[in-house]
Amino acid sequence: MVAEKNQVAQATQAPPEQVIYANILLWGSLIGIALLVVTFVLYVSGVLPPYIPVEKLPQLWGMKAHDYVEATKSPTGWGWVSYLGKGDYLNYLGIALLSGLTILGFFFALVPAYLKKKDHWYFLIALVEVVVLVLAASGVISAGAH
Amino acid sequence: MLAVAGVVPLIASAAPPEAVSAAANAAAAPHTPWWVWPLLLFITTFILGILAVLAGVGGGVLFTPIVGGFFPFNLDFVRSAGLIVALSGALAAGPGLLKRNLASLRLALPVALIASTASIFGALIGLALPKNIIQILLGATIIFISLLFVVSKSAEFPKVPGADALAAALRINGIYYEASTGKTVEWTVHRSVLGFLLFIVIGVMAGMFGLGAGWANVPVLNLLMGAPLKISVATSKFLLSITDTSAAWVYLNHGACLPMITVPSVLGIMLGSFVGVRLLAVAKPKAVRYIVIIMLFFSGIRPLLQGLGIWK
Repeated sequence: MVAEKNQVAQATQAPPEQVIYANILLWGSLIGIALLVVTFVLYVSGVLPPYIPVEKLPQLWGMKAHDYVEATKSPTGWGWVSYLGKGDYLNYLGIALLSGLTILGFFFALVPAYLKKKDHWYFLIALVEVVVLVLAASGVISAGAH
Repeated sequence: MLAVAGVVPLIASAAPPEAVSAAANAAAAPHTPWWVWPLLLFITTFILGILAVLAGVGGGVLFTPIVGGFFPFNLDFVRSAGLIVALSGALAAGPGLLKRNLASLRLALPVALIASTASIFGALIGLALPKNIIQILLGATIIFISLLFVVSKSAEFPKVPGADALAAALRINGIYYEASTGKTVEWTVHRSVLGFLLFIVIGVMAGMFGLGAGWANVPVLNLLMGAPLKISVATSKFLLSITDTSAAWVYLNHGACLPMITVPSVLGIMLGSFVGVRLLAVAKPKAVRYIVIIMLFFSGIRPLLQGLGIWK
């Protein structure tokens, strides 16, 4: 009976790379959410003055993103990194962490695990996924504007 | 417990329209102080988070049409926030689902690669299209989704005669413990090529409209490809963490992310989901589900009519 139970437990267990990946998501998202809370408090309380004054936002947030960026000369791509001293852009830390967790998980957990397992198809899929996500995150992809 | 039981019908019946109409009233007032908006947004998303859990729908699909239709923010910023909202929800649920082997990496990875690539194109299309076209398309899609929720069926354990060649080559299969029967369930999938092709469409729509795509993922994984319902739901939820990541970066890089909109939304919906899970025991999910479907239907009409220039 115990042996049977152990067998079931073993058969239904998540593969080790899946558990490692899950842990990266778990801790990363906890840190990301905590960062969002802290940086948002610093932003709205005015402790860290923002790039765009909060009272100006209602006149700006109805614009299309492209027009908003032009009107406010806001940074695009990774330009926000040099504005981390501003209350609003400091919030990008948490947002970027949440948006980057998948890349970290694929790069540090899945790609090496599938390579080690010699699971060629999944190694390739995970690797191409990293390339796609890095490409999206890099800011080299751009859209036309209206 | 009594207090909780009293709160549930109240939330289910009246709160979202109240929050939404408060937002609409504030929008009509030209001198509304700036802080009213993030506060209303937080309250609205908190309620949406509760409703999403009780109704078994993704928060992202409610967020974009409701906030986009009733708040004064441009849809570019709302879609960007919608993606981060869906992404955060998926990141919160993903680890547990992966560890319990309900979300399957073998099923998710090929599909995620297709959908996340497609969602980049979706995001680019969304940012390039004029506002009214996006509103019309979003409205039509939301109305379609609400109807889909009414008619769609699911199969707990779909019959799969055997893995097709692609699924066999990729070894898309698994085994999980079904607590309700006390048995282990072995599964695989079929019709992979068609399923994978549909994920191109799903990815484009997710990126374009800033919606979580669970409403589309689950039927394709479950009804078409034949994955068990639990595996489909869990894999779909986890999948959003990958699909929405690529589109979210496109919006971020285009300066389409306003923390004043994104952060209260993420925190509100997460807190709401947290409360929703606790209310599940006392709520009537079926009744809530119908209320949410009706809500979704009407929130689809709003951007559609705005886009057509009928309702400003």
